[in-house]
Amino acid sequence: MARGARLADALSRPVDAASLAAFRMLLGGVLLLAVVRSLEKDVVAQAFEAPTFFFPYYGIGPLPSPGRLAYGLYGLSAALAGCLMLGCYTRASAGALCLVFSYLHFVDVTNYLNHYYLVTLLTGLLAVVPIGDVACLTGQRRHPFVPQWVLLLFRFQLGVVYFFGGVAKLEHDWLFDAQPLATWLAASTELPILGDLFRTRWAPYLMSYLGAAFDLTIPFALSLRRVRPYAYVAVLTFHLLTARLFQIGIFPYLMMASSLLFFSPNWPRRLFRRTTPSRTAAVARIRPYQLCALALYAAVQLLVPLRHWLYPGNLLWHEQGYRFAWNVMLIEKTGSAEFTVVDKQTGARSVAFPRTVLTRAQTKIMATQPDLILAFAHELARRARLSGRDVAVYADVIVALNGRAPMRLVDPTVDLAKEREGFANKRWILPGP
Amino acid sequence: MRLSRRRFSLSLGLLTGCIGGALALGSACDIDPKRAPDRQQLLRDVVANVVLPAYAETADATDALSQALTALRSAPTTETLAGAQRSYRAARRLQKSTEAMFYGPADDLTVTGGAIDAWPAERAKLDAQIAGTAGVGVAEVAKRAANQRGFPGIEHLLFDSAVSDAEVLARFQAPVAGARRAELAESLAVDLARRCRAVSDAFAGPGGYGAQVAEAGVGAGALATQAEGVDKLLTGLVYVSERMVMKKLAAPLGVEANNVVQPDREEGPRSDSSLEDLHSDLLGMQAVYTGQRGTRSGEGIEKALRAQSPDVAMRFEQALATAFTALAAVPPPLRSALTKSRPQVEAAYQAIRTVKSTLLVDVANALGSQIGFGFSDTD
Repeated sequence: MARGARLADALSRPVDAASLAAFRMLLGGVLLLAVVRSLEKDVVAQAFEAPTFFFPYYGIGPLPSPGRLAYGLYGLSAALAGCLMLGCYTRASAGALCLVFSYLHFVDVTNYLNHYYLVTLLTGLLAVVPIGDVACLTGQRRHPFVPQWVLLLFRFQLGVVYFFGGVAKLEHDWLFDAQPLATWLAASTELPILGDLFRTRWAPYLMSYLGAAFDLTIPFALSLRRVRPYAYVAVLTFHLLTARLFQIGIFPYLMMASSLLFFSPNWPRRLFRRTTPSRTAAVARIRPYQLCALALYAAVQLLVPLRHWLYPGNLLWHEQGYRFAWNVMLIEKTGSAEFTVVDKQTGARSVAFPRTVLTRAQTKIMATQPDLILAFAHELARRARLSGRDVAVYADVIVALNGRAPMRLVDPTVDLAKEREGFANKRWILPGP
Repeated sequence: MRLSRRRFSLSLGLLTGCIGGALALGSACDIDPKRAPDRQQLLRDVVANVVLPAYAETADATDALSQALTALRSAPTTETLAGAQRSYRAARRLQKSTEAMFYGPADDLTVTGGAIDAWPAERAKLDAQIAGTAGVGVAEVAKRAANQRGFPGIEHLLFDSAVSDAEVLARFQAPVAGARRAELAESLAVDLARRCRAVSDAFAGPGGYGAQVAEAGVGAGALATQAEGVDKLLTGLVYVSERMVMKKLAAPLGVEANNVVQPDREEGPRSDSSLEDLHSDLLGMQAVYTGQRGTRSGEGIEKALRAQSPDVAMRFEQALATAFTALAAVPPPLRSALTKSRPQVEAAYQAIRTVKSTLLVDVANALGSQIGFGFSDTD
């Protein structure tokens, strides 16, 4: 038999859809809680109502601002997450949730979080791949099995998150200065027992190394049957600790829930002492186009996190290729940015304070990320053009990275209004530490 | 081979025990409280020695202002006008020092109505109230827009830098309009005192916001961690520094408008208190930073910062000292200094700008602070 056919056979082998059903329910539950928590924290008012300008993603352009409609979209997200949890029109719910959630969080670059991107990917996958209809409210419950590639795809996705999260930690600040953990742990000394530990000089180093080792090895450990229970205990310990220490929202719960996918596909049936259905139900054999799509998806997921190698300098400083690459908890970066707008005809100079246009959160994030600094400079130039002025825009940006002394991030002599956004290296970013 | 449940539990227990023992032993040998001092004491001290007294004293001072304006209303004389002006300046100094603690109830419109210090005042509308026939009692005043009330409203009535105090007094003594002016001033003061007392009360007490900050991370309050408590203190400092740079100096200097001076955007133009207001702002910042205010002293942000990064602590202290010096070098009043002593005003602007950026960049980085956008998660 040809190697391709054997691979197709292996990928098409039917596996119990119960663990995917459990994952679907847990993901829906976590997202439902996330929506409730966001409403409770008044995120809509601060992230969608207050801003008068939204930072667009390059290539996508500005999306229409949701304004107060965001309340409705959050409500819709909650309903869709509930549907996903209950298995009510599962694929349609997942697809709609993917669109609504993605719109809300990609409407402004300053909203970007790695775990929001992960939610987009996971809900998107749930919408397009067959996940069976175990424990679904709707559907005819005729698909208790799914092809093995579906389960492997989700495991691969989670493995990518962990592994590249670990690879990203193999850099100077994390390994040699234990930064930013040294800074963050010093602020958490109130914890019982651990608080004293965080007062030691070596604790940040220990936790940095353990954290990197965890991320790099956990997908593999979870894949090995013999060590899987220990590995899952490590998953729980790690994520519960990070949930307590850092304000990282649903990320720990998302990962604790998702990591269960590494267990045997029928673990929920064993847990609830239900019999596994006989494997008489056939599953569709993987088709060539599906194989190609899987290969393409995997290639994108493996290459995108590595694209930052195309840019010279310190990634943590210039942040070119930083997003969508699982760079998690790597930087404590603070900045202050002011812009000077010069009328090209009259030479008149005016200072533009970002806070007069942006919210405090947008200002803080913009001040440390060069592409957002450029976008804001372009916005200032656009506003000037509306009043009939052709202007040059210069940025005075001071940034401190991981406890170092502050440095200038952007060349203050470069007219940013003339610089174009794109994937090319931004030469106006000054060399970092 | 399957692991038996017993072997699994045993291995897990052993592993946990070993790690726990090693950590306990290691940490017992190497705990360095100076490296990461307990921030609980810092929070408690700043709240008890700085925040609560500052708001309570401001509330007391606005009560005194209210009484002084009652005296002025009952007998408009040189003495009662001077007394009211003195009370205004005393209350103003205290209130300005609380700008470095602008969070919680102070930033809650349901408590303040935004009507304590919304400037610039709508002077034309205040004058129209005096000239009109509608009531100017406390109930009517409380319904007016925020920038016809509070300190700016009272300042408009009590001071006028364009004329002498005798002429100001004459306005209070004028038939009909004088009585309405005095009643309006008194009503504004009563309204202001109520607002300031409400803020002070909301901070004070066991369930007050002050206690929530002081007990951050240990109580059942709104702040789940000590880090959030320290963020709150830093957010106050950043808020006032931004306000000083952008609104109190950049705006009148006209740095956003081709450097064309805009005296009408000064903070206290009629009482010529703008420079003193800025000085009080810096004093408030200094108190939160050092943990010392008047005769009270304790730990402040300084201690945590010094432990984390002595260099940053030194830079911030230097920036603050330079700001005090540069501000003192501006010859009062600000409205004339804007044109006659512009280099000195610009030097003060740059010095306070340095305070702001040092807070936003150096201090926030050293303390790992979110500075005021805790609604959002990170990862």
